[in-house]
Order: sequence, then C-alpha cells, then structure tokens
Amino acid sequence: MGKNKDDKKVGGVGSSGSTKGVKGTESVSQVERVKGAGSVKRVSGVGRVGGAGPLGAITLEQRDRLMALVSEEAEKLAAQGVIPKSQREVVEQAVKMVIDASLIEASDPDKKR
Amino acid sequence: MTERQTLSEEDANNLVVEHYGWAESIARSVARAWSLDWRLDGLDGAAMEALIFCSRRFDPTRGIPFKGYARRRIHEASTEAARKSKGWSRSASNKSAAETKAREISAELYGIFPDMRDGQLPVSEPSGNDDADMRAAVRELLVGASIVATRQAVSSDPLPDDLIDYRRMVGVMAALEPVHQWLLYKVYWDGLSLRTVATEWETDGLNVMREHKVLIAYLQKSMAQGKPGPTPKIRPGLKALMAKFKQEGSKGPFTDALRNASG
Repeated sequence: MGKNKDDKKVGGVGSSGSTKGVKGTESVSQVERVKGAGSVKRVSGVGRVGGAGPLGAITLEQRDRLMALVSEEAEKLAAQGVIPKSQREVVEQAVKMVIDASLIEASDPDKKR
Repeated sequence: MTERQTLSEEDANNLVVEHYGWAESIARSVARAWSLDWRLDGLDGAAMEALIFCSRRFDPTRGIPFKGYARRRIHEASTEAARKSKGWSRSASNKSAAETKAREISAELYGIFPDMRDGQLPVSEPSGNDDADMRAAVRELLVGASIVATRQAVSSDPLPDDLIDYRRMVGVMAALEPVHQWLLYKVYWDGLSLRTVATEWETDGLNVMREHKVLIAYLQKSMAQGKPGPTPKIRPGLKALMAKFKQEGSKGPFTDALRNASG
C-alpha cells in the first residue's frame, strides 16, 4: 500500500499525566435477598379492542335496527324451513321480546309506563 | 380465595340512592317488552330489593363496576316478578295466544342466554364484522326459540303439525354425537344455561358456547335440507366427555327417544 504524501508524521508523544490515585471502593453495607414476585391476585377480562364495550353489547339506539334484523332473519329461516311456518310469528315475537327487555331506557324515576 | 370485602352500611346505602333510577329503568324495560305495568305488576319492588341485596354483597376490591355486578341480578328479579304477576296470567285472556306463547319462550331464552340480561347478544367468536356477528347472534336466538317453541307445543296438547315438526327436529338431533345430543338436551329440555352446562361438565364456558353455535348452524342447515347434514366434529375441550358417554354406552337422549317411540 502506497503512502499518501499529505500524511503528516506524528511529531512525538507527550508523557501522559500520572494517575493521582484511586480511592478505595466503599464496602457494600447490605445485600437484600431477592424477593419472590407476588402472586397475581386477579386478572380482569380483556376489554374489547377499540373500546366498543363488551362483546355483543347492544344499546337502545340500535333497537330499530335489531328489530328489523330479527324480522329479516325470521323470514329467511321460515322460507328455508328451519322455523316451521306455523311458529314464525311466535318465535319472531319471542326474540324481539328478549332483545327489547335487555335494552335499558335512560334512568328517570318519575317516568311511568 | 380472598375474603369478600363488602361496603359499610352507609356506603351501601349511597349505592342504592345513586342507582335506584337505573334499577327502575331495568324493571321498566322488562315491563315494556312484555306489555306489563312495571309498578302494578310489582317489577319496581323486585328491582329495588335486588338492588339493595347487591349493594350489601358488592365487593369493590374485585374491580368490577357496580352496574356490571348488579345488572343481571336486577334483571332476573324483574323477570321473575313479571312471571309471577297478575299481568302475566291476565294476558292469557286479554292478549292473543301468540303473544302469551312468545312471552313464555322469551322467558326461557334468558335461561339459555343469560348474557342477554346484561344487554349482550350471544357473540362468542367475533368475526371482525359487527353486522355479521349481530345477524349470526339473532339467528342463534331464533333457532333456539324455535326449539323451545317446538318442545313447549309438544308438552301441552300438541296439534298434529306440532308432532311432525317435533319428530323432524328430534330426528336431526338424533344424528349427532351423544355429547352434542346431551348438550342440546340439557339446555333446551332441562333448561340449563350454557354456562351451567360448562360448569357441570368441568370445562370452559367458551367451549360449550362455541359448540352450541356450531350445533345451531348444523340444525339450521339440516332443517333447511330436510335431512341430517354432516355432523359437526367434537371440539378438543369436550373429547373427554365423548369418551365418558361412549364408555357409559349412551347413544344420546334423542336417539333413545326415537328408539323408544318406534318400539
């Protein structure tokens, strides 16, 4: 490998300052024993991603949509013969009742039916 | 197990004061759905009693919000009061027979799907599409209601059409593995919730809920075809039970029922 002309020679190395001294390390006064990790008391259920509430949660605002969905699906199932035609009305009404009774109205203690 | 840490009487009373409007709104919702009067039919008192009971039992250290803890109990108390009310039996003459039957079926559906009391549709495996999940849950409820309706019709003065429907349904169920037959039997004939069946079988609740969904899809397909379709495989979590039933020589309650019926 050729030498580069621009390289400058190192003129010399000055003496490095002498080490003044190293203080003694302090003794370790106390080492605590490693403690075992505490047991997990309880793990609560993981909430739904996106904060949309519990799985399958329905609200009063969805009522009309849900009722329409029940009618649509009941019609399909009756047409396929899954629900006997004689039962269609009763079954559809029963599911609507279950959904309706699960949808809580806004709290108002003075409200009467 | 940690000891229950309930509230002081004063704090419990404060919970009651804070939530009584909410508890009454649960009673009103039940009354609205079943066309009852929430006060005359005693739903308000039942809801209040349940609220007080919950306030005394509530343990805030468990990390569950009070409404999450109390809602199902208040709802259950309201529906029980509704079923015992004069309005419930009075409706037999005032309302159409269909409405009365629908009420009875819907009351049974709460036993099968208790999460509905918390305002939750039966969705055990989310697909990522909320609308599709909602439809699937509604179908599950409808097919479940149809099984209840068929069973109820047969147990009380059945019409010939009811008997035909019943035989068709039992025929489809009898094609299933014994463990699947027992699952349907315990839920729709014994009136146990899916979670109770899971507890009885010492398995995870989701195992039973997911298997139930698969069975409903099987019933739906088979009833549409008019004959039993390919039977669903048994989920690994229930295989130990399958072995147990086979060891006991059980063919399943519906298979036995058909065999007995045909002599």
